[in-house]
Amino acid sequence: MNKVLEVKNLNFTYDSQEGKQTIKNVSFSVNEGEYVTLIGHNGSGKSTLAKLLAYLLEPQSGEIYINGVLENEKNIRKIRQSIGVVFQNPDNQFIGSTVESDIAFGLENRAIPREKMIELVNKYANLVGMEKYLNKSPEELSGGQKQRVAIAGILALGLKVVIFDEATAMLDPEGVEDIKDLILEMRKENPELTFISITHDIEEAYLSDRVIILNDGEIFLEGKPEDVFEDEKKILSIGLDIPFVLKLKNKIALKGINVPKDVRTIDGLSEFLCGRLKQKI
Amino acid sequence: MWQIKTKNLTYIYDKKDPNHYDALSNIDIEINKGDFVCIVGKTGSGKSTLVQTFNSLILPSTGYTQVETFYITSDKKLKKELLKNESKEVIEDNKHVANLRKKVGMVFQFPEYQLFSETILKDVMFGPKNFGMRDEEAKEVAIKSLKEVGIPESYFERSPFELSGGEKRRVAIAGIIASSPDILVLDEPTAGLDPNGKKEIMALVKKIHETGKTVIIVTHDMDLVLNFANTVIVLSDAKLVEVTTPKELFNSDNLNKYSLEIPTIYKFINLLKNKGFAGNLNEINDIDTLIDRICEAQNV
Repeated sequence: MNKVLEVKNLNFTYDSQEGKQTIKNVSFSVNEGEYVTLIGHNGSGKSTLAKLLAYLLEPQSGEIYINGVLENEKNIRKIRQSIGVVFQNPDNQFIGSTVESDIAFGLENRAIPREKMIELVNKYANLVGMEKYLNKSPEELSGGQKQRVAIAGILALGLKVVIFDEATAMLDPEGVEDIKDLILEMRKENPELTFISITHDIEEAYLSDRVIILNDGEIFLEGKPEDVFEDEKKILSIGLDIPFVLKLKNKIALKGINVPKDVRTIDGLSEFLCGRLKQKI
Repeated sequence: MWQIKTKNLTYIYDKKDPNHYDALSNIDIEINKGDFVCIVGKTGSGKSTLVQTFNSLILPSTGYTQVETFYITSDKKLKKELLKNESKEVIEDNKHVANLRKKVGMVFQFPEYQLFSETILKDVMFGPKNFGMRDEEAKEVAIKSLKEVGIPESYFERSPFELSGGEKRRVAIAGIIASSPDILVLDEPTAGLDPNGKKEIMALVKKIHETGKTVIIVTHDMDLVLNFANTVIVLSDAKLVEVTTPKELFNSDNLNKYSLEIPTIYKFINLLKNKGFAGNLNEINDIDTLIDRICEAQNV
């Protein structure tokens, strides 16, 4: 497997917080095409880590390699061509005066030829369902619509690694589903695309390739979702919850109904329960 | 008895724009004093626009919003007409939008972005001072509000930027309740918070509601609706489509029509029903009842 992102002994402290270290000796790596979710309670250091990964903050010590390139001031161009972040608050990242110009903004900075740019803008506006709004200005859009535009703008850049920093937190359920479908579609179309999603949505985490749990700036647990969430007490002890399906599975296991480990969706669980019942009859 | 009502409320963002459309279309609602109301609907359905008329941040293009005896509309002729039979005091009161804003406290989406003072205490004092309180008085109510939202005294002189997301949001809420509004409107109060942060904020809102205040929440969080609201107002494409109770809403088939998220437990129950689960699935509103029914059906 090709490691697209490698983090080694990362440390970071904000100037304003005397002595309180936000990121403590964090090391991990992400493979090309992997879908990693990063979870942890508010203040665990998740968003700081996202900013460090995208070189929007500089670590005090430790190293980050993106696509084999060490992240430092000198390599900033290469870093920006490899990794990008969609942030939580849509109002802070709308730069253009219209949807069209906002999606095009990053492309303009990369001196993409005009024809190609129009093609890309249209393609990604379509993907995020904003094709009818190309001439609208940000004041005319809802928060969710603005966020879809931001996502289109990042995806249009064709980066190696895309980080969503709670990018769906402000979207409505339909919007969230759209974006989740969009992620699947993008990954299918471009299996090399690597997604790191910083989220409070444990249901999303449960379905990703790998989960990293951050607590007080340190990696608390890391691994496949079915393993990471296995110790319910441990998860609850740091103020997180376990996914609905797992909660249900654990509760019925106490009564003697054991559901296979690979059942991770409500669809799968309902299938199992109904199938099991039919067999009995 | 209603405390807030809207009558034929229509709002158009930019009438001059040839492609203009209604952000709100002919909305008639009544909200009772002391109620706990959630306003739901997909993005762009007009939820935030509607609540912003409640404290006159947005003026209805036609029709009006009324908060007790305060009339909110951009239609001057209509306002004159509405005020015709009112007393002198009411007419005078209607001239000062600050009176309305004191009554209707508005906590916006991500209110932590609006903290700006150098200390937490000063930030919370800002609102009351803005409504004309003297320094000492403002300080007193600010301390009271901060205690109410559970911010310890040792924090008062710190910068708001040192706080966690949930704490910042509680400080922002303290800033609003310091002016003791009768009606508290919160736009997406739980968005972006972790499970603990959500619990803290909602415990606080519940406590505020229990002091007799009217609480109105705009949200996508259906678990919040299920656990806290008495009344749910559903908007879809700028129109009012339903005024109902949470249990009725989640047990109806209309959720998909309005693109609302069904709480996971109901989604799961629906799946079981569709797959022919051989057991009783009616009247389940919590996970333990669900477990009991599953075990019952499996004879364990």
